[in-house]
Amino acid sequence: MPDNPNLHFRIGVPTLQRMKALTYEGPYRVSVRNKPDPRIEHPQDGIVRVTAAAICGSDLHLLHGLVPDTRIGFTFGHEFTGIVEELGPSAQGVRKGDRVMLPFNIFCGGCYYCSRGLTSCCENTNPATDAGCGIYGYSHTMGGYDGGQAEYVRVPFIGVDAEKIPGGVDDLDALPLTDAFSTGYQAAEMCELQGGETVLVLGCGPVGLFAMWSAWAMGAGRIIAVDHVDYRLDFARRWLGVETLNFRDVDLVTTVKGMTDDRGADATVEAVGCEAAGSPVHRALGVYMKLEAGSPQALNFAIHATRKGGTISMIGGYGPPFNGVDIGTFMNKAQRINTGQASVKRYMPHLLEHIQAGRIRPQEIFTHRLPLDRAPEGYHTFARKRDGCIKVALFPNGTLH
Amino acid sequence: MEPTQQTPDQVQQKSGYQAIQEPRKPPYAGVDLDPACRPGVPRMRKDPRPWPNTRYPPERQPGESAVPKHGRPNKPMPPVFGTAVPLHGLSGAIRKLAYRYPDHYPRHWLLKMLGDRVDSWEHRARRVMPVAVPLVALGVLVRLARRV
Repeated sequence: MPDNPNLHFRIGVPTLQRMKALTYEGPYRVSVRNKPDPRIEHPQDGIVRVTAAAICGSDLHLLHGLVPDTRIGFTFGHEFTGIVEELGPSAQGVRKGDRVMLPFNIFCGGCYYCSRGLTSCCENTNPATDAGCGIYGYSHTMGGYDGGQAEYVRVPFIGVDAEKIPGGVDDLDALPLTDAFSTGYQAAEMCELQGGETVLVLGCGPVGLFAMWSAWAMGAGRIIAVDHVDYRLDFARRWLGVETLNFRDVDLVTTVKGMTDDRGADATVEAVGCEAAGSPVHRALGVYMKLEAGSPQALNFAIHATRKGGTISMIGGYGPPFNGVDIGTFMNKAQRINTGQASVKRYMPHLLEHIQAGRIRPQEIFTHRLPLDRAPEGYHTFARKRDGCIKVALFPNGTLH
Repeated sequence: MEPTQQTPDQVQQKSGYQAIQEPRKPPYAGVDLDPACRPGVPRMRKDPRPWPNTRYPPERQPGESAVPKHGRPNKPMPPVFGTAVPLHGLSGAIRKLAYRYPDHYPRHWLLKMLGDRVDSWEHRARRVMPVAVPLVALGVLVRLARRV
């Protein structure tokens, strides 16, 4: 770095720091500040000018200080679309000016896992842990890559990772493919549906909603959506025609067994993660006192509400090192849990086909669309589930739709 | 088979194949029923092949990672890494210590969580210091002046 901290180099040319980006300021606080533009740091890197970035439910785990090694000044954002601005000398397959969407996984494309399709397990992008690959804007535990809630972002392996957005597909329809839609689709896929099953979906956030859409597409016979926020249950019912249960109003496990011949759901998608409501004890221990890695209550609901021999598809985010999961009941009920961060890239072409065929308009979940300057307001509206908020889209370069 | 319609109270009193609201199947239902339509099946390809435009093995990234390699001694340093916020201050020292331990040790994570809290306190201290230090100095001077 040059001596003057206000100067930095991008492709060898010193420029003033000027990029606006969302920055983490400590638990429950974010702001929008100026920070240095990203630069090419590896021959296969590219720089993308961000046209739209979404706030994900898992960004709230970062906001609330639950993800280890989230540093002050870090920029969040692992769902974004943009325009290719610059390319490193070895980046091939994309050109400057291409309109692209980026899977939240940063992956090399050629390692043991990537070559077998599991791009979310890439071996070459994260020194910090063996638990996962690099992820944009998801703490230094996930590699320390600044995220896309900014005007510009560094994109490693841009030629491999970036997916071009076809003409005729809106940025806002492409945006959920970078995480929420692909994750929801993989969640339904991990239920291993063969047609006619009853699928329970815990959580009516964006991932849960896309999991419901995908479970219908894969032949589910019934879908029961669960949340404790009534407007989200209403949205699920209106948008996807699913049955809904508010676990504040009924005993969830008793009700699900009562609806399924005393057995429980054939498969359950856990799309909640480590800040689950439903157990004051786990909220106190995990979320407030941090004596376990967040509240595992959604997973415990899943174990009890899924039938014996059934499948749990676990897609919610949990931190290490341990959680109070009812593993004994899980073992006794002969269940299995399928897990994994979505290997997003493998789903993008298929889901684009569904969008182009008019089977889904993913942008309908963006109830809030804000310029980047209002990102802190977007975070708090989303976190407190106010104003009917399902998902927030940010426009760092002023292209409000 | 369609579930019979019941009230929540009835469902909680007696089990059956029953629903509280009528399900409405959408027109696209079953479009991906065939597992061959699902891109993630099988989960791991039997015929490994690199993705289009891959250059493998990747070149090594120059410069320093913002994240030290965690402490499993036989883990190779990955060729590509993030450089977002380098380690600094007391929180940096704690995080560096955390990364000396492999990620399968709970102390690796607990030290990282401690580093996060210290980072937050350091940040707050930096923010209040420009106001707090002059105020404390002024208070001390006033007290000294009163004694004289």
